[in-house]
Amino acid sequence: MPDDILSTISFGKTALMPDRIHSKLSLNRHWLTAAACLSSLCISIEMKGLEMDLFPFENTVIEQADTTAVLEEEMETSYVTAAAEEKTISGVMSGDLRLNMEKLSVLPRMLGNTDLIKTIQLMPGIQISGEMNSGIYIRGADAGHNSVLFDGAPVYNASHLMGFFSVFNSNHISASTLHKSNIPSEFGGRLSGVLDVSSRNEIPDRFTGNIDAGILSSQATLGIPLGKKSGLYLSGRFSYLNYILNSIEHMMNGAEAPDYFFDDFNLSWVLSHDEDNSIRVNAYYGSDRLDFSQSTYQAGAGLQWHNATCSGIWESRLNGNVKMHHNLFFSQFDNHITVSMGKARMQLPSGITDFGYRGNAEIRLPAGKLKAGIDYMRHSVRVQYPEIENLYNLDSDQAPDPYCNDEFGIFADYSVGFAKGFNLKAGLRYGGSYSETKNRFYGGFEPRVNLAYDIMPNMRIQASYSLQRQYIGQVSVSGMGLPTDFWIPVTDRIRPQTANSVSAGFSHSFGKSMFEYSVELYYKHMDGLMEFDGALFDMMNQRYIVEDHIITGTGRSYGAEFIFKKNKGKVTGWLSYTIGRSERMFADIMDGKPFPSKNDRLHNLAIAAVWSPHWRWNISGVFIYATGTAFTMPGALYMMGENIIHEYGDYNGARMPDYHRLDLSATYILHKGKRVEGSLNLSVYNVYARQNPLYLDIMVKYNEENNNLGVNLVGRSLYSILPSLGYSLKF
Amino acid sequence: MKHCAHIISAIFLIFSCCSCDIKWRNGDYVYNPEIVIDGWIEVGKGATVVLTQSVMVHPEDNESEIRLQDIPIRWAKVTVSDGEREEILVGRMDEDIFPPYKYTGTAIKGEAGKKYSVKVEYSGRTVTAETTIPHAVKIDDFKVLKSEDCDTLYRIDVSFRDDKSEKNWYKLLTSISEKETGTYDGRYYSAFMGTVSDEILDSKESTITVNRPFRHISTEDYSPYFHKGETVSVMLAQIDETSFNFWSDYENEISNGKNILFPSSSNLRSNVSGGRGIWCGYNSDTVEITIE
Repeated sequence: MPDDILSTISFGKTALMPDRIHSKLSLNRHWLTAAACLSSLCISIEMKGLEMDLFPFENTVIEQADTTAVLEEEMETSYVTAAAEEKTISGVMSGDLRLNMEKLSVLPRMLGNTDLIKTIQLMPGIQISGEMNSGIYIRGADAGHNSVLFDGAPVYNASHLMGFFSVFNSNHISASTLHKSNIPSEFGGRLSGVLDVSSRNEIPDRFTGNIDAGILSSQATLGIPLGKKSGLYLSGRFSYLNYILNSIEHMMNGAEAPDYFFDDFNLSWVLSHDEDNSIRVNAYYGSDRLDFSQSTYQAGAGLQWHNATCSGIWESRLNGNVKMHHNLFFSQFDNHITVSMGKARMQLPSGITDFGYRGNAEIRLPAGKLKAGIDYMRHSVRVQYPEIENLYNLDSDQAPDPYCNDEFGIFADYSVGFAKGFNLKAGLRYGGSYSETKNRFYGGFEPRVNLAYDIMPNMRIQASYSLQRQYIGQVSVSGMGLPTDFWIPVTDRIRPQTANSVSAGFSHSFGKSMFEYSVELYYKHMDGLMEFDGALFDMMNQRYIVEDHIITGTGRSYGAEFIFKKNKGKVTGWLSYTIGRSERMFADIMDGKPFPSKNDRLHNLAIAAVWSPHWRWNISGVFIYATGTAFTMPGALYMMGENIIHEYGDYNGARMPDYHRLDLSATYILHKGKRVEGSLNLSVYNVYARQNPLYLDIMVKYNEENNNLGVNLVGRSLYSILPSLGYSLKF
Repeated sequence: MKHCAHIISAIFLIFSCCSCDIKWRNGDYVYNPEIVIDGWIEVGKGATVVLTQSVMVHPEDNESEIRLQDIPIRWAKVTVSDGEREEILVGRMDEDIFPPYKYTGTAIKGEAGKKYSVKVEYSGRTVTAETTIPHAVKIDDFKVLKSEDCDTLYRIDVSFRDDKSEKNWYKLLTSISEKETGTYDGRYYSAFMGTVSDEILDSKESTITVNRPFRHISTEDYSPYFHKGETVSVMLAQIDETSFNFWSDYENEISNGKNILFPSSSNLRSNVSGGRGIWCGYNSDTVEITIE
């Protein structure tokens, strides 16, 4: 790297922390070597004249976590610009995806909302989940195998509206990174990926606002400066879906639709005490409520859940080589399901309350970078047990006291470049969990290693291995991420889950970084996976012990991921494709024979494109195609007591019809001033009205005329085409 | 213009590809129809067995019809044994039940505490099952109460004492008749939510609400309540654990077969070897209640 370039970068003189700017500017790995691990330093760059070509995905929504833009200084003008030279695309390959929330908004929206998780599902290796499911399924693992962190605090049910979209208000988020593979050892306790979402953390220099008004929901974010060193962000979002859907349903069928309501609120306070210390306090609260009734049965049901998180983060720089990060956090997830008929009522409460601490130190060494730290979390888990009122003329509560577990980890990550073009990242974590309730301890080491080699500056190969352990697992009852799914920590009967993962890949960019592609192969073996074999009636008419209905087994997933991107020009976008298998083996299911997991999809294809013909216009489209969901289909019917009984075939042996849909979006900037910008967005979800069924309904109707039973296989979809119109105002 | 025509053609192609009928796939599932036993033996009474066979669901046919006359098995050899004696049941039409054919016996009558087996031989296949008749239970009292939200609908509560010194499993069944319309049930049907283990019952006196049986083939909307003018014969029976597991799964299946929150996707636990269904021993007490 030329010295004159270095002269534009001064070390340790600015309040900008690397974490704040790395989403805007990342430097070449070769530079990192030359500048002795620049990423661990605070840097300042002469921003004046900085050309935006630094963004590797100028018009797309993904930014790479380890971008290798090459900087050049134009000597005469002292501008820092990004040269359009060949570069590797290590972002996708490294297993980290960083999403630019502002740029997400140009993609098609659902019900007027830009959704983080639905966008993540367009990436290679991440399965498309379909409607009513906002889970992230990475490389054949389950949704509960991922850690979702909001400002460092865990979120246990990151969905609103029964999974239509996630709890993250895009206007309140500054950065979100998905660690898909090669997970840093600072993240523990899960078998698969980590979604790390951060609230806005820059100090607003003036009063700002961001308001999105949609047909079915609206949201607003305000940025309030509190002096020069401090600022506050407040966000709120709520739905009025209920009023609209009820009116439509009433007009169409004269019936009442279920009552549905959700809202959420965010607060972030940022304090930059001095150049070396900053403090952030973040809080989130969101709730959902769904009620429906059936007058013929005189029955009703309700679902309610809420998430709350709170975190206090202190970042400090001790000197030019050492940076500390402390995070004290709290998280609560509460879930209530109520079913009533007449005077009888059953509730299924479940939930988790966590508080904990994460701390780490980043140390720049003469050769390489070391990051080491500890984390601790206290889980208080209310496992899903029924509370019964007036059923069998009894009130009963079979629930045990909340399960209390202490989970901790000690970790160290070391990264270094060596020889010519080699880069090694090695991490070791020791994690464990002590079940206070059952007086049982589990723990173990978790080694992780990644080796990359740059064949050429624009061509890279890499391979990685990791062992991960999970001490609190999600038991899927619905198989769709619905609120009946619940969490349970390790006990004397529930053992930890483990996963061994290997992957290897190749990436290449060409056309002066205009195009890039990568291919990666992966294999994952999982142990201690859980399936639920209980039924609703098991909870009501007999003594119920949840552990009796949790069966365990192993799993494996393997496949290949491919992504091709166009980064520049009026049309940008990407095509991602994954071919893979995800299988499970349980001794209690089909005598241990392998069967497809619920999220096994052989093909996953996503195409996203954004066309910007004019500064006022952004036109975008997303097409996705995925193999149908595996499910257990009745292979036959028989009659018992004038009822039709299903005889189920092989476990997950059948397939839903293939899932595919096309979404289109047009954003028109109505006015754009220095400080105010207004735009209108029209999005059409599922343009060609594909009926993607959520479940199979086998309808049987007795025909008195011919004494026959009519059998109809009906795929129940929630909706087909879904247009939405939204207005956004930024000031 | 040419460019535009290409785009329109491409869109048309996409639409025509995607608007085809939805097809379900059930892998390489191969199915042979199974013999289904719906049989019971009560204390002091002979055995009754209703035999049917299962029908395959063809995933490629979104709409199909099952001919009900093809379901009953009419030419089977059904043998009941109490361990000492054997009796071959006699098949005959019975228009009061559905499907309208049953096998009945008279020689072997149920006794508390004894084991009974059934063997069905049909079309080269043999299906067997075994059950036990538990001890008796007595209905101490019953009440007819108006439903909470409607003046014209009624519920029935029955009370009994559970013997806490032993593990017991209970099953409620009803047979309903109505004079005005002349309708009546030809047999007892499983009352909705009428399967319960004594693990959750009160130690002194237990009361269970009797709900109207749920029937898929009924053309009327289901309500768990009873109507004025109906005569309800309530049967409270003790059953063995295997039968309890079956009836619990049965209720779950008919209630939650379409429930996406708690989906039912497991086959019913059964005591029938080589087939499906239940061979159940009942020791029961019955009350007849007319809703005035």
